[in-house]
Amino acid sequence: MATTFAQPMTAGMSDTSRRNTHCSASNAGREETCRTDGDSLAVVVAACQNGDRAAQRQLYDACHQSVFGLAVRMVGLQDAADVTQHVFLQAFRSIGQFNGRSRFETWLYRLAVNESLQHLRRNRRWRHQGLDWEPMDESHHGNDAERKELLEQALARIDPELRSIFLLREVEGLSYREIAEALAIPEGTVGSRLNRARRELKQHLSDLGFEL
Amino acid sequence: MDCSEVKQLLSAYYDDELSSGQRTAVAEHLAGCDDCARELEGFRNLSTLAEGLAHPEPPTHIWQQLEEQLDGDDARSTASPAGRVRDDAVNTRPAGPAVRRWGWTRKPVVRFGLAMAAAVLIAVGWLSSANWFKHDADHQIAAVFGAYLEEFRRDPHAAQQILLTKYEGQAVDAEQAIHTLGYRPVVANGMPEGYSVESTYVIKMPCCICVQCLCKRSDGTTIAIFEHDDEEPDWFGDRPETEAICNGKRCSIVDLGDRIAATWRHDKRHITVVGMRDTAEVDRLVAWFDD
Repeated sequence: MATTFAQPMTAGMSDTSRRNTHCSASNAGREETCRTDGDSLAVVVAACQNGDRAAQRQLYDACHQSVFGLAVRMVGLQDAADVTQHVFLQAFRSIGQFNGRSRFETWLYRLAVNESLQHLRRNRRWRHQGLDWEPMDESHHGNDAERKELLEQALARIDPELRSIFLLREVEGLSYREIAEALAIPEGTVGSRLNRARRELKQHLSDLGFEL
Repeated sequence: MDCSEVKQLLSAYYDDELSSGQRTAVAEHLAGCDDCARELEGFRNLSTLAEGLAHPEPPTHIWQQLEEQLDGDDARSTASPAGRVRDDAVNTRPAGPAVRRWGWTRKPVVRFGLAMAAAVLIAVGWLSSANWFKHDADHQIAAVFGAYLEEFRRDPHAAQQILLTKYEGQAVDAEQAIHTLGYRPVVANGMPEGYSVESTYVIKMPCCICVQCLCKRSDGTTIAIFEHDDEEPDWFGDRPETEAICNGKRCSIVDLGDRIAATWRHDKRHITVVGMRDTAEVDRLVAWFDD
């Protein structure tokens, strides 16, 4: 279920940063896939490196939903907007350091995960203090919405670093190499950490009364 | 390959990140091992579940605030060279003799002064002991509220539980609140557009009996509104506090890190709102309740 960054057009864009962008949408919630090819994103990033405010807006429009979605699950809805804002502020301040060797999205995810983890450390919330959930009746696994809510609860219970790796793979659709770049870990450890994340999630779901 | 080796590679197999040789070996094992095959099936089901996760809509104010900060960056970067020199001067230790450090002195007059100061401190300490129990209660409230404010940033509902666990609380509607408190809480008259009341409690704390209401903004984030008789500065402990005039009213603003809390007088009582973004939001709520 890879989600690609949306790339809407923005009024007032400079011609260079407008070039090569296109947007097609099939609206089904977040299933909209305004795809951006790497070349057009590179043009926008280059314009951002020159301080083009319209390009910054376009890059924000293209990427903020993914960053916000990741932040919501990393730090909670209450703080996600602040984390998203910090991520983009940091991105625009340091975009000159982006050298193009990796995908821009990977670089941005790295900022987003780091900012989220720092936020959790600052607020001493490494351990989720979830509410006590009543296990569901084992003969009934609820409807889709209930099952998704259980997954949200299970995600909130696992270690934030494992949570980030699971979200980057399952929600953002990054490859192991990209996850390794985003989290600054060896590519060989991505699989073993995903094993842990998936097993812990399965265990928490089971504790909540839902057997996968 | 045995089960242990296969389980080590199972995610990489599932995500198609193995070499063809490893992939074949894992596939052969899975064909004859129910236990490992079941675990793989669990991974698949987890992915199916994750596919359906909701994607919350980001609030629109993020870009506006971001742009303000970027404008500030631009303004600083285009500041005059003289301005930069001034900044440097602020950060540079001035030339000249080293700053004289505080130290003990042998001068008799100073020794006498210090002895007198010590005596005054002892006297003040003795007088203060009469207020010990009150201070202790204040500290307890500050500690409970400190935990509440910390938790509020992550999960306002869990934060509310901290208060309800520590103090006696009762969920109420407007009529019950009037019966319990003897007045109609301000939130019972409704909230401005973009806010909705989620829950209202009357909570009996050592300092006061207050109404606490959780309100959701349209973007899903939450503020908490307290209505109480007197100002309660102890709730916020040592957190930085300033005064501001919001919609013509004196407000005490407490910095909560990434959010603020504000207290202002409303008729005969006080309103404290926790979790506001900025003073513009305080302005809006002061105006709403005044109306």
